[in-house]
Amino acid sequence: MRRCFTGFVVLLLALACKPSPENGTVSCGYPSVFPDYIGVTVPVNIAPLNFDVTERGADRVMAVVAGTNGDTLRCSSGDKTIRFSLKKWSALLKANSGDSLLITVSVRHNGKRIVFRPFPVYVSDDSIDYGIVFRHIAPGYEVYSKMGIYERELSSFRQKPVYENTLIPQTCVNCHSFRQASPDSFVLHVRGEKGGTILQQNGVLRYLQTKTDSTAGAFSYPCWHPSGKYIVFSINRTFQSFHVTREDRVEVFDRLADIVVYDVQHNKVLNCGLLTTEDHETYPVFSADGRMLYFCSAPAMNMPADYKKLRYNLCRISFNPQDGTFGTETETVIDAVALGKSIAMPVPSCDGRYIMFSIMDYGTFPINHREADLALLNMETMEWHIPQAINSNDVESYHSWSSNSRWVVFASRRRDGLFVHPYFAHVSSNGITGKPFMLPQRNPQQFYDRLIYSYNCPEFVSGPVRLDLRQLERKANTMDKEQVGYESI
Amino acid sequence: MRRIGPVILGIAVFLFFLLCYPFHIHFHEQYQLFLFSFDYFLELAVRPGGIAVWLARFLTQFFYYSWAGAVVIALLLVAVQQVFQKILLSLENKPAWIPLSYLLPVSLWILLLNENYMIAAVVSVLITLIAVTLYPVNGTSQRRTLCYFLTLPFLYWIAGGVSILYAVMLVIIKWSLDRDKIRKINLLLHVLAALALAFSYPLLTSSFLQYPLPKLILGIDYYRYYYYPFYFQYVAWAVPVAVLLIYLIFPAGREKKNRLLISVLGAAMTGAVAVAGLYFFTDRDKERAFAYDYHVRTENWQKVLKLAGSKAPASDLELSAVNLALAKTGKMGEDLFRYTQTGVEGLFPPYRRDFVSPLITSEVFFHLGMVNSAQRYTFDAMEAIPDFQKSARCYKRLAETNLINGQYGVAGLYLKFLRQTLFYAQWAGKAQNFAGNGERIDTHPVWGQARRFRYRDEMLFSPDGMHTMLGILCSQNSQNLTARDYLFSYLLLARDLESFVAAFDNFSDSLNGPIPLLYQQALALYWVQHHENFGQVPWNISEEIQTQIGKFAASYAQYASSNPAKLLRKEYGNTYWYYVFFTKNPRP
Repeated sequence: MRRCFTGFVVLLLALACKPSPENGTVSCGYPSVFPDYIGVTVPVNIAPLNFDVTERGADRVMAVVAGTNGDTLRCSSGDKTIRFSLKKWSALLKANSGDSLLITVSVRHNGKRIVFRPFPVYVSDDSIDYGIVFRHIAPGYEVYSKMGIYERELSSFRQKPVYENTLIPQTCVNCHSFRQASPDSFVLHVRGEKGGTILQQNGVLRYLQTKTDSTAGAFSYPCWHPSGKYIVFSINRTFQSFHVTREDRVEVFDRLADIVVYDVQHNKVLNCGLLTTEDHETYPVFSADGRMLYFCSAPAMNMPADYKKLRYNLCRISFNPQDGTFGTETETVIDAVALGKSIAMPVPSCDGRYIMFSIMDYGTFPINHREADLALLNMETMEWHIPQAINSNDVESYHSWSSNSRWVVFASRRRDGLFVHPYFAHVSSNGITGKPFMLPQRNPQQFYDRLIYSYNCPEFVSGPVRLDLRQLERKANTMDKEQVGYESI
Repeated sequence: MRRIGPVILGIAVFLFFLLCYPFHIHFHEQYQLFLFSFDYFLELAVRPGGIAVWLARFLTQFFYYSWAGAVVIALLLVAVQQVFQKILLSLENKPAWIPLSYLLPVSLWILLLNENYMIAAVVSVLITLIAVTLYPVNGTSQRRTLCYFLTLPFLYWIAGGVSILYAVMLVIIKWSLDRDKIRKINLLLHVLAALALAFSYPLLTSSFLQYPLPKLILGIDYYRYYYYPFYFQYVAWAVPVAVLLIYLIFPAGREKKNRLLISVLGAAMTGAVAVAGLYFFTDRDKERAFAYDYHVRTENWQKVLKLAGSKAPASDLELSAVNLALAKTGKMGEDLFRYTQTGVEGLFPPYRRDFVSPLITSEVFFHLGMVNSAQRYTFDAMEAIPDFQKSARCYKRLAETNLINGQYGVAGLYLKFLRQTLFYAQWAGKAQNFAGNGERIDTHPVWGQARRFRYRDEMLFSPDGMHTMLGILCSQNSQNLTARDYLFSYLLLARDLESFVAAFDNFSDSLNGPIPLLYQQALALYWVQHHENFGQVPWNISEEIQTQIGKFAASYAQYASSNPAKLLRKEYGNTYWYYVFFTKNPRP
């Protein structure tokens, strides 16, 4: 038995150190690459996973991507960046959909060639949406500079601006939200003197004044009802405070937080008393079937003095989409407070099977908490766990589900602790998460080393976003805003 | 005149900026980050006027030295005059009118007195004038038309909205050349087509660049607040048009004395505009404010105090610079009230979301050891730069704060950019050697000290609790003398004698030698408010102070019904007692 086992181990090692067809020194280790694409799961329609070989002293790098059918894709480079042909990469992935690729990297170092152990990339046959929409903003404090909302196609490296704040000067934009990733229905807030809420649905652009006499402020965090008839918003009075020690920088908290539902067709706010209490109700989302409204709730506290005691539970209340009415009581879904934790940003998958949420030690703004992780709640068993595969020692935060519910994109500071980058992870139908991969770039190391913006609030979108900018500019400059009405239920 | 004029202009401009406005030059330099990289060039080149901006920023980096900045500006303005002169003389030989060509550089000079009028605006005008010189005035009408149509789109992309000046000047030139040759209606059609074309490029650009259309027409980068319609700058565009018209319309002067008269009047007018413009628009107050900021940045504390000695600080920002200089030179306890104090805002000016005021306060925080706060103020000041530029000064400070805090990856990013600059690369290269080596940073005279001084325990920044925050710094490290002096001064300025005495008892061990004058005055005041005499006083208050406070009290009582503030100022104006009883400022 022992001899068989030993033989088996020797065989494994031999296979692991199998030399490439050409001459070269074989390394038994994986190569050091950026981004870390070793063992990741990618969708069949993702852009090429170009990467940089960060092995010291390497002056020429080569990579061979092999599919299980024997098809290969070769690439070599004199500047350490492996750049695959888009066309050939796409073909290779399609041919190996549902299977895996092996990438063998070799480098030339002092005239010698070193071949590294091939690393796998798993190609899921679950495709990913057309792209992501996100905000580019510097990771600052109270002041913003140039910023904008951008759209990045995931099957290529194309990126274009949706809205940049140079168009309407002295404005800030945030809270872009799409109805189940559809670019035909979206909202976007423009803040500033000429600010308003952009609501575009089926090609019609509306510019809303969302502050009413009966609500505490303008709309904040949005979520579309799957029918497109409603959008739930929180209304927040948000403040920032700043840490003085090196570990953390910013602490964000609400002095007020309520939830209202906006009736898109009738242009009015539907207010439910259970969602506008003295407590802080925030981060509202509709369930996939639109019959439940999930949100985070915490009792009001003396802030900022009690900032470390502020903890939110995950709650829900039923919603009747036929007439826009709510249930008669709220229910606590996860008592995070009892666990000494706080929950933020619950997001249901489009198929309704899971809710992914952020969990941290306290507070309401996970991106500023190094310990913040993503957790997954199974809606059938109502059990939740923290998938280790997608979390790191740094913050994982804002997330979005793809329209087929098989992919999540989330924001993480894991690279350097400051700049936020988007990562994608596969979530199988039984809730198993794959190793996440960073948003591919044509020249990844150069790109991310020079990028001075964070990727804020990445959201999946199933097609290009078309926004009539000059119409928006006219409406903003002439303050041509549609006042939202109010109705208390 | 044609030889000596440019020399006079150049020398005058050079001397003005070197001697009267050097800190405006530094102001320009510190609010940009010119990088020697293709990406940086491309980022600018993709928008109209971007290439002129790139050239201007290339030149502005030399403003690191005020003399170099003065040279650059002088050369630019002389070049503008020379090119404009060449345009005029190529059309008609009327040298008598050439003094008027100086009106353009003088206008630009006056505009440059505003620190937000960018060098890019001057470079763009120069490029536009050079483009005008390429117009083949001696060529056929068709050739000239072709030149115009080919040049305009390139000029628009290189220089931006000022290309309208090119269009207008060429319209005038064409009218001048062809008015007798072609029918008026044809001439008018040519003119309208030329102007329509000039406006068509911005319109086309608006379909893919997200800027307001007026900005695409009139220029994006000429004024630091790009969204602000700085109309005055268009006066400078009107000047060459007006001069060109005068030049073409009015005769040359047949007789020598007429020509001399024209020249003298032209020169006199230009000179009058120059003198009046410099007189009315030179902002000496801002120059002083920028001087304070520069001296704080370069840690030239004596120069800060010298400035304050020549004229009282005019704002909380200037006062905060003076107070920092006092602390850094160990004179806070003696000389705080030599300068009119306005309360605690003179130590920590209220936070404002602009790109200037937070920088001095960030320096104060840095020297106190409040590293995170220094980082935050620096970052926010940089983000507030209205034309979205990054700042070399801020990047340098952010690299430092991140090195101190052990955020080596982030520090590396800033250092990487600084290594692509001309004047910060060497510093960045040296700083990079510290990244990842905490022990080495501990030995750095500035960074190591900041590490030892910075907060150890978690808490939130409290603008209303600065005395508590300062007290924590003092408790953590008795070597933090700046924090000690700031704590004492804060409490004195807040008129909180009880807390001052408590703080003094806790942290005065680090005082070397006799108790500083102001602290003695405060302690004496506290003592006499609770005791009848100095018999049991626990502090070493000099006899002189003990006597002086008695005299002060007596004088106060004597003049109480008249105007004690005025009557006591001469003798006691520099004392803490005078501040307590007579200085009106809000309590914190």
